[in-house]
Amino acid sequence: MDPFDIFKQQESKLHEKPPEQVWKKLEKRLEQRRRARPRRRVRKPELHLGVVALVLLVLLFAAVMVWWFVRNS
Amino acid sequence: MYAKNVGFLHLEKKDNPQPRFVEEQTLLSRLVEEDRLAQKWLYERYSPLFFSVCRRYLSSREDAEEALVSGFFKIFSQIDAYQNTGSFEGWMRRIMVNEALMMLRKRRTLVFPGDEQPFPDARDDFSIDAELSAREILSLLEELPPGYRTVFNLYVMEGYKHHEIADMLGISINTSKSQLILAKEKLRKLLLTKGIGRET
Repeated sequence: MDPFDIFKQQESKLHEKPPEQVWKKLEKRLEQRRRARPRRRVRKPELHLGVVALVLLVLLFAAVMVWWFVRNS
Repeated sequence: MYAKNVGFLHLEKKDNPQPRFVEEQTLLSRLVEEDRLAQKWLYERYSPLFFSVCRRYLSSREDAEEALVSGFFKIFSQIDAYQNTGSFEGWMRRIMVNEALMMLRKRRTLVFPGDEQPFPDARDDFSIDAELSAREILSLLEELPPGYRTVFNLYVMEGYKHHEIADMLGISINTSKSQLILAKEKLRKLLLTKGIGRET
């Protein structure tokens, strides 16, 4: 065994909580990024379904109207 | 794919503050949504480990803090890039090591000799008896020149191969090998002086 592997084995001793201001700095950067970026469009599947249903309804109504018009003329 | 619990999380909103075990996949999707609670949880859990990684590479505590901030910022902003193929901790650790290396380059402290240097002999007539304290480990690493220290960290602590280190640092494989031998030789002398190691 490499005697220097002891450094790796004892690495956990080095674990240390960073100062509180580190998180504050990080949070500030994340917030700046969030503000600088254009807002993402939220895709809602129910909205898409609604549009499709509306188009089908209009088409159906148009077809009925045409049928009714042809029948009466 | 199997579900992996990552820990006991306070990820719920205020109306349900009960902590619960959360799967890695749930945590990742919350991170993709930039959920601040999930980001804070990940930071709280891994910052002691990653701060120690940065401290091992960088002599200055301020530089280590700066590298830690940049590393976590990269983790959160590039979370989409995590492919879910390897360990999440390993992916984050690679980012942290890269940030520490970038900081070393920025400070222009990372200087390596050319390949014309004589290749040193590796010695294995040495053992370390005593336990090393955190202070001792850090002070020993701090006594190494940045080149030795970086290669030692990458090879011994992170487990990279010499060809990977050569790629990461833009040096030859032989330079990586010789820097490691020189780092170990210097550490051997330091440990003997401090009475922690002995020749066998």
